[in-house]
Amino acid sequence: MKFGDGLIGLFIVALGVAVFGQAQGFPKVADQFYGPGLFPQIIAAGLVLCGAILFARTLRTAPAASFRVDAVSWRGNRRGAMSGAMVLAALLAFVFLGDTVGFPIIGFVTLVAFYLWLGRRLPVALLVAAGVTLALDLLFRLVLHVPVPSGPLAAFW
Amino acid sequence: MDKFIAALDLVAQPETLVTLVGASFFGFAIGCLPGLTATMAVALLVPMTFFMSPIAAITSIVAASAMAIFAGDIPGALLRMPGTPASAAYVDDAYEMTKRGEAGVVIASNATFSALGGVFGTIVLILAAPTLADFALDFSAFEFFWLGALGLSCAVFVAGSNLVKGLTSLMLGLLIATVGMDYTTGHPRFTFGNVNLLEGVSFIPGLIGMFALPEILRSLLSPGSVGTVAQVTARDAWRKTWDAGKRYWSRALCGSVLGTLVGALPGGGADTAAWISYAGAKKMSREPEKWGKGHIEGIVAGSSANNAALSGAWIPAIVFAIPGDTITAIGIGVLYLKGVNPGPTVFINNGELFYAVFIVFILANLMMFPLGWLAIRIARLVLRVPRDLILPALLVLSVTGAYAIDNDLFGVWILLALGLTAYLMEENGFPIAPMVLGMVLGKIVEQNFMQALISTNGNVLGLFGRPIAAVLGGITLLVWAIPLLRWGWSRLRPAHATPRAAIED
Repeated sequence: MKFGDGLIGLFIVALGVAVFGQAQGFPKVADQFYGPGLFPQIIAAGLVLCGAILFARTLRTAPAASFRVDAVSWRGNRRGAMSGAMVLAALLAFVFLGDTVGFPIIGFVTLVAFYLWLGRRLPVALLVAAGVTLALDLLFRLVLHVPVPSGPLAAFW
Repeated sequence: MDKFIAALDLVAQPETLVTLVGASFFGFAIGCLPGLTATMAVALLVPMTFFMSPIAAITSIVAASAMAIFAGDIPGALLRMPGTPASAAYVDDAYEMTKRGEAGVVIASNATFSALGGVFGTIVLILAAPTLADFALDFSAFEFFWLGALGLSCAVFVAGSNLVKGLTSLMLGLLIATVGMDYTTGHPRFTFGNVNLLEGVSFIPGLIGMFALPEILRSLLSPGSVGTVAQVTARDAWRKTWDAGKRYWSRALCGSVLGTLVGALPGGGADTAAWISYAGAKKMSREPEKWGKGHIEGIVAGSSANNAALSGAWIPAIVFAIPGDTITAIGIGVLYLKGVNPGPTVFINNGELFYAVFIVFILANLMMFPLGWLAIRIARLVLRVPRDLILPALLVLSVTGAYAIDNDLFGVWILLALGLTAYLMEENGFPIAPMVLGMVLGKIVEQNFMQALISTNGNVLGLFGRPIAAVLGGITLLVWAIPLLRWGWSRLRPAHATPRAAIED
């Protein structure tokens, strides 16, 4: 996704203003001018400045493209767009189902889905996915002692 | 001399030598895995050191950490996923070279200059340990604030061609670093009521997300792969490394000196050292336009600095029992566990042990050559595996690595959020490097800034109140003023269009 620098500049300014406002509410140390809010406010000022320069500069140099939104790498590339969506779906599956379903199952399903989508035949997809899943699980859970959630498989492990 | 011979005798024990080789391979494997840091390699070794002699125990830590920092460069070069944060500074250069078929050269250079930096740091450790540690011991919040601020200035040099976008990226990184409980009052900032954010944004999952996710997305969106490029042979790789060494030996030397110094300062670690060295070398380079596009010079500067920092960190650790980073902190713990007390008297009580540690340092760094050779072989295999088989596996590996740092699914959230942010930023021409720098240095700068302000009762000029702080502060302000002065100068004399273009675009 490509956004015009004008849009980005406005977004950065808005972010800076929001941060500044939020940081105003932080308590002060012993009634001094400084406190938890000081550093975020300095950063917020920096953001507003950077955003404003971006905005002003693009209006001067390329006003036509300032507010354009363009999905260069996605448009006319359904294959690629679908792959990107699958990456997101896989990550969300790990986040929301990781604890209940377990990493090995989600990982295996993710791998098989990707391999089939990218044009591998089913036996290859199943075999490679199983190998990778097993290797990662052995490495992290047994060798490195990371308590990777195994979901229902925990009973068999 | 007697102590030196006794030390050699200690090192020549089969147990020590076997530990050296075993721990090197272990560190190598951990460093190669994205998300697993050198600190984690050392932490995982601690239970095993219970069964070792003191010298073997400390050998395992020295060897594993040195090898992990070197090995962190390898996935950076092959997959654009820095294996450890210390490799993040030059990951773009390394990956661009791999795309040109020079993965072997990158790895051979990483091995060579990591080893050189490590050996240099060790020599300084042997010769100048007491004096350097003494110097670092005098530092207070004032000096550390300026040191951090100077480090932030590096963002200007790693910002790439567009300064404003680079600074925006830096500000975003600093903003991320402020998330969590505030240092002075414990007030939760920008946590949106989420308990996981009280401790701040976990750095390693963020790092994996910011470097790995955009690369996975980009590769899937536009097929066309690195694997199809013919890679150089191992022989050519070492030859080109030799050429790079002849051409950029001064960068390696500067990186080693700088890395040792930064490493010796408490709070400065291998990652900070690599950033400062990379940025400094870019500033001094005759061909700054090539940087970030696959230029070996930055790899020489960065990889010598991070391994030198590792050796340097042992200076305050051994002489004053003050750990400079997490690795030496664990190392000191293991030393105490073994009944060896680090501190000023260490050379009187345990002289031969520490000379033995120095010898082990040098041996551990020399181990990088055979392991580097091995890595080049493996790299050629890895790059030959079809991309469509590797990318989904990398996605699952990234998620597991992000989980492994805190054993919490929240790490995957951070990976997702920062990964998408980084993808959008790169699509729109915002460099990622300054953001990482801001995340690394933000906490150090803010904590010392607040500490200094509180101790001077809010007097900002008090930041210059100590001699070393005043010098560091002066240098920092000068570095910040230069781009402004140049900008002003180009405004006054519009005939000189080039400097203005260099700053604005």
